[in-house]
Amino acid sequence: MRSLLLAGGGLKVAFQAGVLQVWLSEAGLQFDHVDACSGGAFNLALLCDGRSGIEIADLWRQLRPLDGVSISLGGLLRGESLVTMKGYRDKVFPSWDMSWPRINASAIDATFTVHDRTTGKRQVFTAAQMDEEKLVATLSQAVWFPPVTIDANLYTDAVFDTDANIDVAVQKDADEIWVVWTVSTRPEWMPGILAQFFHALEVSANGTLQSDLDRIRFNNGKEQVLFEKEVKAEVLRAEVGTHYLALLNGDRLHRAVEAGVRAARSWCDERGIAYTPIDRGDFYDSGVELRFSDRLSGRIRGRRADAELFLTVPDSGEFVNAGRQRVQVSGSVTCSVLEGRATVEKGWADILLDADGHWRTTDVGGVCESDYGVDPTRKHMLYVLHLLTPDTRRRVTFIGTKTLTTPTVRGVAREAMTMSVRILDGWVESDDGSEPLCAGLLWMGFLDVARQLVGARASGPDLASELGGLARYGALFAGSLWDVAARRVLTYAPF
Amino acid sequence: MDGDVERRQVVVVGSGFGGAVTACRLAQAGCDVLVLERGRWFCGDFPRKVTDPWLWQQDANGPFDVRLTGGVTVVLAAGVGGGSLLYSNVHLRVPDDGFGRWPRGWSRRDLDPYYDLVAAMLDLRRADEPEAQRYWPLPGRADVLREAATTLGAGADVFHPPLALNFGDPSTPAVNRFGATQSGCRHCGKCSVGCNVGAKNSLDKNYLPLAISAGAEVRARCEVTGLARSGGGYRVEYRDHGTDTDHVVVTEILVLAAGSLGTTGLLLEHGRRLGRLSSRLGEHYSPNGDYLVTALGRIDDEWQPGVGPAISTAVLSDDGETWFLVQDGGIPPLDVFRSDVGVRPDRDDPALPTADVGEGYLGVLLAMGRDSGTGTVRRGWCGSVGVRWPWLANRPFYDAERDYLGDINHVLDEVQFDLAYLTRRPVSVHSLGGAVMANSPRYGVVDGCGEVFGAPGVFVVDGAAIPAATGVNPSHTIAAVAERNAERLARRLSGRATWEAPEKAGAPRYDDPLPVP
Ligand SMILES: Cc1cc2nc3c(=O)[nH]c(=O)nc-3n(C[C@H](O)[C@H](O)[C@H](O)COP(=O)(O)OP(=O)(O)OC[C@H]3O[C@@H](n4cnc5c(N)ncnc54)[C@H](O)[C@@H]3O)c2cc1C
Ligand code: SF4
Repeated sequence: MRSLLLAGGGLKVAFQAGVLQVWLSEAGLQFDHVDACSGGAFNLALLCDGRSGIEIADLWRQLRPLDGVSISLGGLLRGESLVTMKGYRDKVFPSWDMSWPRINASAIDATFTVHDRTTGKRQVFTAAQMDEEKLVATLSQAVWFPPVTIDANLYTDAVFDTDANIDVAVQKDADEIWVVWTVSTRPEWMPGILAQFFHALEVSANGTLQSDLDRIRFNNGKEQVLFEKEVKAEVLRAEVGTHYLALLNGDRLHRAVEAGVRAARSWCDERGIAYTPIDRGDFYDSGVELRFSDRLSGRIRGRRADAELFLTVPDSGEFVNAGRQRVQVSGSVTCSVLEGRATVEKGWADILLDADGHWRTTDVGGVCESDYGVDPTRKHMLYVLHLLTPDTRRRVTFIGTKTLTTPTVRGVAREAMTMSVRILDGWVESDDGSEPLCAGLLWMGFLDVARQLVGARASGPDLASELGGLARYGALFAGSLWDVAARRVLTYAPF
Repeated sequence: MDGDVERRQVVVVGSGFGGAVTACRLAQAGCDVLVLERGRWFCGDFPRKVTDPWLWQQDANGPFDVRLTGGVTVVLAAGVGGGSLLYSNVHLRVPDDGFGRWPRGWSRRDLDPYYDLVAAMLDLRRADEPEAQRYWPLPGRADVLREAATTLGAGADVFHPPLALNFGDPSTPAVNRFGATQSGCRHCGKCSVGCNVGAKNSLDKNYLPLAISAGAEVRARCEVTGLARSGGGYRVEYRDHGTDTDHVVVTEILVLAAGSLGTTGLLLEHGRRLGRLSSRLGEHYSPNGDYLVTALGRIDDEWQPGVGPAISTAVLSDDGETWFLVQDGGIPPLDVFRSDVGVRPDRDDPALPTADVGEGYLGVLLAMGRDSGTGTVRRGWCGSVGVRWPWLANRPFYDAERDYLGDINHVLDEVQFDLAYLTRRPVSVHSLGGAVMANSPRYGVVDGCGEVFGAPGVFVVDGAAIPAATGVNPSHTIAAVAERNAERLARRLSGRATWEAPEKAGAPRYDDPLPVP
């Protein structure tokens, strides 16, 4: 018996949708029971509605988070809630073409976990019992959404009670429990009421999960005294670079979906689970091409060096959504150690990617916790340029890196304007860490940045999409710096 | 009246590198030498408070002489020991390819034995040598600059220049082999305002005591005001600022060592009375590419400008077109919390490192290098000496220096404040040229031995005679050139064709650390 627990995490569950694409549609994994808490209920409702993993991911790929938000002025004044689910009821669910009869008839053994305020206990609804009210009840997070009254009982989101209902899985006789966990465990404590609320939520959710996992370990270690059988748990955890709630545009949400896809594939690779990737490469295509120029100067091997680079973003939609952020680079690098003006024969750059990490896995007492390790609070840029020197036509590779880690605005701006350079012999695809021919540093001043902004160009089907492309690129850029330097304001930029 | 006039075999004007070396060697060779120096002796009484006399113009008492002349602000020294009193103790040699504009017979190879001699006289030592770190570690700046250069891919260009410093025990003063009292360096960062504990191996601690013990006479606060040919020799008029009296001395050999501007100025003013001098007089002036920027920011955390000798580390930049060095600049720690604001009092300097060694308030980075050397020294109004320096023609060179300094400041995360650029006027502490050595009077003012064309018996032995920017800090070269030309003059005057400085035979070879390819 294998049970899948779709834990809550507000909008971070977009990541979960990416995981579902891989686990269900690409790897064909099967689950005998699925439970959802809080935000996980979006995905479970869709599953019960007959959607496949890839379909769920595709729905998230199209979601615009603002559609779901409705400010409730009355609720606000009465102190009941800040926003309501009206947008989800009126716009999002219909756009998902959700059908309650279909859900009620679902063959999936599904449970939706809520907290019943009237009894003070957890309660689960089966797919057959579900309706819109109950789905909204599952999602109605205290403070933000009003509680829901059903048959004189008052229901609210279960997250402060449990965010992954291990007990219902055990009752369903599961001996394998899989959890997709997106509640942040970053050892960071930010100021402000908003941040504190979510920290409180994290304390509660992470604490309950840990004690649940401890119970499983205890059970396994003490002759199954608790559950009368050995239970294995698999937790896939990731830090998702999206705020739980505050998000204005879809691009960042869509990047969370793609992060989930990448994480789950990598997770399968780790475990030798076969999968057939489904390519969504052109899903976000907008037909808008962007061009920038990058002028940097500084030193290579202590000699004056100037780089004049032309960056082309082949498709702005793909760029801001897919989480791959690759641009093509042409131009030249001039330095006496490169015999003067060396031209870029082929070049590309990965812009503002979340700093790569490694799986951090602990496997104790039958509980395997795997953390994806990617860190959205540190960004990385990598330029790989194949240069040809003018005189001896020598082939060398220019590896330029920028690493954004300093959590101050000045610091991160400086890091974004500073590129460490290594020059490698021959044309290579990536930096293998070998001894470079020479190294150095290039940087741009504020004037160069201003020039870059003014010099940005877009070409697309119409002016609106061109301007949109530029604006979304700008949002990605500014948002990335925010993630590094302005987390005190909001942990993860709202755009 | 002429009966009362003092007569000397040799009169040396100025006691800086050129003057001190020449006076010492000629005295050792048995000549009768008189040194006239406009500044005073400094014996642990360099100014510290704002109210102290800082400028020489203040009653011929202060050690500084700052000239705001056209195109370049020149900083000169006045005192017994000249520039060695205020300099940053750096001694570097001009590499082979730096002698292109020098007259016949001058090359690095020819000069090396004399460089070695100067190195031995001044006990040169690099700040990174273990011997130099017995009492104080290498200052933080050294590592900061090395790391910054390494980040810029220039790790191989970083080196620690030899310093003329006493790295001995900072707590107990001791008498050195020339009979002068010195104590070890306390790393107080005040080199450029004079060392009051005598840790700098300045000329008043070596060459000048040696000259005096060999019979030379040094007259301090005696400013030369007039020169003229007189019979077979030369008549020197000077004003004694101590007694406010004017005097005359007649000499067979007149050695001019009043510094680049001092010597050129004296020749411009009185040259006509000495003989028919070359029309090149005043030309080939070079501020040695000096460029100084200040770095504002959190620099004092690691940079600690007020700790360590003024310069400890250098970076060579040579891309085939421009050639210059970047050096860390220590600056004296200021004391702004006292009513008589000034440099931190010497009694507050710890002899040995303590937990809270003083810090400075802003950082300095300096560059110097091979500029065009096409400035002119001219007589201005009322006898003043001015400089015309072609900033525009040197613009690409300065830009290269600025860029490098800017790159370093970017790595250090400092804001570069560049007054020289704003005012189009660099500050130079390394003035050279004006009466340069050349093969013939068509190209220069003195011959390869320093003797003035058209005025036999008059010699120029200081920075004025150096034909082009040295690129490196110049005093080592000025001193070595003076050693060589003094040796020739000593042979001529003593009639001993093989005469050598007594210290020369024993001077070991000293390796210059400049990383030339
Ligand atoms: C702050 C500072 C830091 C420096 N750092 C370094 C360094 O680290 N390394 C380096 O190599 N160089 C350095 N220098 C430069 C170096 O000091 C000079 O290049 C060197 O001293 C020049 O030697 P000189 O013999 O030509 O003249 P000076 O040393 O300038 O000597 C000339 C002397 O002549 C005297 N004089 C002038 N006119 C008359 C007159 N009419 N009558 C009598 N006497 C007169 C002056 O008072 C002076 O004492 C520095 C200079 C300064 C100011
Ligand atoms: S650092 Fe201080 S003690 Fe050392 S030589 Fe310079 S002034 Fe003298």
